[in-house]
Amino acid sequence: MQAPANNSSPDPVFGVSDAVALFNQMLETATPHITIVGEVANFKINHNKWVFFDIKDEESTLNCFMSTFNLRVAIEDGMKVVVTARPNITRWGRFSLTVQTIRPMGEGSIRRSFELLKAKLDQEGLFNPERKRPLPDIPQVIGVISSTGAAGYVDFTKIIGERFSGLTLQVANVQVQGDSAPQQIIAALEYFNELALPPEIIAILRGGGSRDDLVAFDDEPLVRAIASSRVPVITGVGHEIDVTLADLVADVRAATPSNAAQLLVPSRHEIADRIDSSLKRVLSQMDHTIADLADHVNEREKSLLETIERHLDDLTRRYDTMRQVMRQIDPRAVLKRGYALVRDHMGGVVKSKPLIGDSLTIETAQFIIETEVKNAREK
Amino acid sequence: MPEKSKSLRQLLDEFETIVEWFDRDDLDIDQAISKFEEGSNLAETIKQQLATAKNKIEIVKADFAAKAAQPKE
Repeated sequence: MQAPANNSSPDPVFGVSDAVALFNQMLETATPHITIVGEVANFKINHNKWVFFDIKDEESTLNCFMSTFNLRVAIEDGMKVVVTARPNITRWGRFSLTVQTIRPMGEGSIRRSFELLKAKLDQEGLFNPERKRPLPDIPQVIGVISSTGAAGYVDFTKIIGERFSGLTLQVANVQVQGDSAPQQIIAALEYFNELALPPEIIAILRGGGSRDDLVAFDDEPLVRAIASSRVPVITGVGHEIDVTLADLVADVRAATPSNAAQLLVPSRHEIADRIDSSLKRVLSQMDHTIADLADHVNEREKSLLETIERHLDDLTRRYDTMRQVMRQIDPRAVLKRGYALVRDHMGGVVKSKPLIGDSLTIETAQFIIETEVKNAREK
Repeated sequence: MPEKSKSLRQLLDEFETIVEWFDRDDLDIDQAISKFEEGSNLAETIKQQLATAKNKIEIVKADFAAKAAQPKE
């Protein structure tokens, strides 16, 4: 331990505050950070700003203090947690730990913390189905938040490449595990959201691991950042059976990074099939149209023929009637009945009174008789 | 070829518009034939692009570890 005094002079005298400052200096030099595992007791949040609790084991208890800003998971009494903290002595002389990170430890506590936060966020409506936005049909630009070294990311890009071509992946390389992972993912979400031309969809990816490795995706501020992202978010985190809070709040949850790739873009075959079936449909529509046109032409032709036939019938009927009339008024028919036709020397039918001595021709059915007028009187 | 500068999605959108054009009762057969030709050509270009185009991967330069550290206590 450093001592401000030496043997040859009397012990220095400190004011109380100076002494507290001195102890804090010594503590900071000795253990600037300490990671402690223990059980939470007397957990309380004051004014939604400050968090107080004790961390204890069978024999000892330590006072802890932190700001709600660093409280990223749900904590309650009796929960086993791991904290990273800076030890210090308060103005009131109490030894306290200023906690920087706290997270549940062990299956039971992780499960409990998950359920507590899930219930809280669910009550706020963050997981409501009506908040979910659909995926773009075929995105042109995808924002990817992942660790470029991770297997999940490699699977994702490989499957995207196998399925589709010509799109752009903007990749934000972040940690996807550990205490700083949630904040890095939030920073990447903010980065994409603030772009003048943001991507059409953001994919948050992390391959499999133990459920413990995925706790970064149960982080409350991260869940809220996903909920407030104006760009839709798809998550592909862990294995199929792992459901994180990030999955629940995302617009679409893919079971794995590979599944996210499948959901985001159709395969080449699907597109080719889609195009071919569209062309087939169009062709059959054209066939129908042509068939309809042909029907129409046939019908027109039929009705034209019918009209012509009707006209012909009409004409024939009229011709027959006329022939009958003509037959009745034919002068030869009249002569056959005993009448005669009298013409003057000019050949014209006699219509005025002839003079005595005029030559007339009388035509009967059988004879032409030349005569001379002896007398003519009015009837 | 003007299609070269178009993205695959633009081409697919154009193709879709042509296909939708046929969803009408009063198809003009002359127009339909020219639309069909246009659609078949687009289909060919799309298939070609699907086979040859590459995806682009851009790694964002921002340091998210540093950004993440900033707002911390």
